[in-house]
Amino acid sequence: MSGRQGQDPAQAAGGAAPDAAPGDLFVVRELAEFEVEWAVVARDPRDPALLLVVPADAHPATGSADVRVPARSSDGPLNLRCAYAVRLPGSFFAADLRSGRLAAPDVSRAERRVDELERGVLRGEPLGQETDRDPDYQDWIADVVAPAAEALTAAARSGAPVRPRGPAPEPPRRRQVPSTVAMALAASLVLAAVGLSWRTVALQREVERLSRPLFDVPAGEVLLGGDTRSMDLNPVLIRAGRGASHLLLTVVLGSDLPAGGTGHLEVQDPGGRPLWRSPLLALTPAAEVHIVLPRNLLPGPIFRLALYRSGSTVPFQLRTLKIANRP
Amino acid sequence: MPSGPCSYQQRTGPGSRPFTELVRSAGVEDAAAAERLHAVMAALRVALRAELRRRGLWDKPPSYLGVYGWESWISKVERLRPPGDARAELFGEGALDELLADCYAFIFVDRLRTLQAQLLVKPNVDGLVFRNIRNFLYERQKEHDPLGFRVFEVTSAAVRKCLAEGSLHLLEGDPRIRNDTVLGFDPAAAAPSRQVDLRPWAGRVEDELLPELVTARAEHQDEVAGRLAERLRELRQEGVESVRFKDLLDPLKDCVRERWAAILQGDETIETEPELGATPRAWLERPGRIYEERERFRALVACVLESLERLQAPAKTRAQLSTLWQYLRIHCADPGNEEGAAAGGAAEAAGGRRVRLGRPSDRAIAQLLRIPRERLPQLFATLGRLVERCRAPAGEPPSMRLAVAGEGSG
Repeated sequence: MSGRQGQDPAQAAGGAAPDAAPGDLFVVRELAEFEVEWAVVARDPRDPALLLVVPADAHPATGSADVRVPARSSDGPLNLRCAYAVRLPGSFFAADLRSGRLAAPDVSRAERRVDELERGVLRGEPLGQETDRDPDYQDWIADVVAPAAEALTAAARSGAPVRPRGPAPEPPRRRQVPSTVAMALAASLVLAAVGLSWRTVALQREVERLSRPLFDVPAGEVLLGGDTRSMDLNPVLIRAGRGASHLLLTVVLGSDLPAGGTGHLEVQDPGGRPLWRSPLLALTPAAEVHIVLPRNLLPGPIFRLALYRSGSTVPFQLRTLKIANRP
Repeated sequence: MPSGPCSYQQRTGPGSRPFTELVRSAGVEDAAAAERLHAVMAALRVALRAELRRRGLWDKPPSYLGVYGWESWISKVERLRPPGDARAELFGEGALDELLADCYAFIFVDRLRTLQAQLLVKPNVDGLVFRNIRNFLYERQKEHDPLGFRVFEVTSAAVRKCLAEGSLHLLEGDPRIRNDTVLGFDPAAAAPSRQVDLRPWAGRVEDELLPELVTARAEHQDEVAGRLAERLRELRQEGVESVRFKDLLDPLKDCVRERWAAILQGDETIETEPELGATPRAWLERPGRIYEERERFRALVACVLESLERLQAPAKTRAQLSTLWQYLRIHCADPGNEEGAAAGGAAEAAGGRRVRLGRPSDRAIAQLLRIPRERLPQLFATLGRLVERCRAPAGEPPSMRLAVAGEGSG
């Protein structure tokens, strides 16, 4: 299928996987730059033609939103990154790119985890919460898992590969070198070159995306303070189409806030890990603050908005937000 | 046969991909199988050495990565091997050989299926193998050098916090905050021309932030990172305009390790309280290298952490239990505590006191963790019960109603 641009990946590959089912693992040729497989964890109960798919990779760190498939399990070791679930047509995957099959208990755990995440009720295991703070884990998610899920979402939305192109480029070939030191240097350069080429492609894609005007941006309003409880756990719903790349949040500061203070707004993942922090902000009662959030900043449909007073590490106001599909 | 890591290329020509060839031919028993394995081991050794150097681990004891019994990565075995001995190409560095064997299993045994999966859509998986080498070392370091890892984790969080606030700026190097990242208090600052000696600063920071720097969890870890960020900002007042992350991290790690060792050194006994003689007293032994042992250890740690979160106890007691549990996790994996894994080693001392070699006294633990010594027997007993229940075959986290020893709730 490589090189047959613009086609459905499954058709181009010589046929869809008609029996793609929960437990199946697939790879996608157009997304080969991302070192992940895709695990089918369920059929969408609202639309059985859609599969619920999560990225699966062999990085050993397991965060609070992930499901760990141990080494001795069928097709392990893997981590199923359930915060990055994508819904896509059952015909999306190519039959000849099925790469494995997960054991039923692992699939069930992943399905439950996605459900907990989408309902905003994930408690998270303590060991996983420790991993959420691990810089190496955060980098892996930011560099590999999140862009992979974004690319698959785009592919699923368009019905075609997100970046149709030829075979993945070969890494630079090593020259024959005369010494151990040179060999080590060559290995380091290969690593650097692969990393740079990936980053260059990602940056080009980002620049193209950001150059386009934003139209019909989904918007939501969040009240921090006022009559609401300071730690309201009922999520604020924001209706957004599947393709929405940004969200416009209007944050209204409560009229009961003490005047004259300063603080920061922070966007967090469901486990409380900071994703973005605002510059210093005057906490003027009843003031409005507008934030345009890139959708790919968010790990999934659930996220949190926290307000911190200056000098405090405990959130003064905290809201959970949920992105719901706009019909 | 030529020796040295470049011999594979000499045999097979430039541009060959030993890792990909091995993955592609896995299970094929042909005449070239031994040759392929030989080439992979040689290439893997080179890459492993490079990554150890990149991470600043080449000059550290191999025990930091769970390889015990060797003083350095360059062992005597290699030096004694006669020049030209073909075996030196595959083996000959005791410590590195052990790590190499484990790394091979991590990548080409445990993850062979995932590599083969990627070969369905990629022309080669050599890049993925390099990534797996980094993942392997990351996991080993986290598991076997918990002190160093925790200091890295908190320092990295503190630096990211300063970068987000604008009090620090990324001057050059890896933006993900690694050893080669250069940070400055002014975006126009020049990179340091020589290593900045931050040991006095690190000593003060360690005085203030231990033990929380290594035992704090969850949101408390963020608080510690916040306090460390404040100390980082003070560096500018001491005339530091820019610093390499490694020069910031290493003195902190060294200070923490020295303090940890100084308090525990020479304190080789613990006392069991007669009145708590029937109560299990929590202790952890380092898991072995067998997969099942490590999985059981991981499950035990997860179960106790979960149980601690559900435990009905006053906030102060829960905090002390959490600190003590974090200490036990770190102590059992501490590379400076090679005897810590040893079971047995117990003897009856005068007065019926039970003496266990290699385990610190309550006095030392109380001093290190800043927990009143008289509280320790109760805390150990509570943790002991949690550990015992978590080790039970059912594997259920203990009930929320589990009482804290000595606090009257049965």
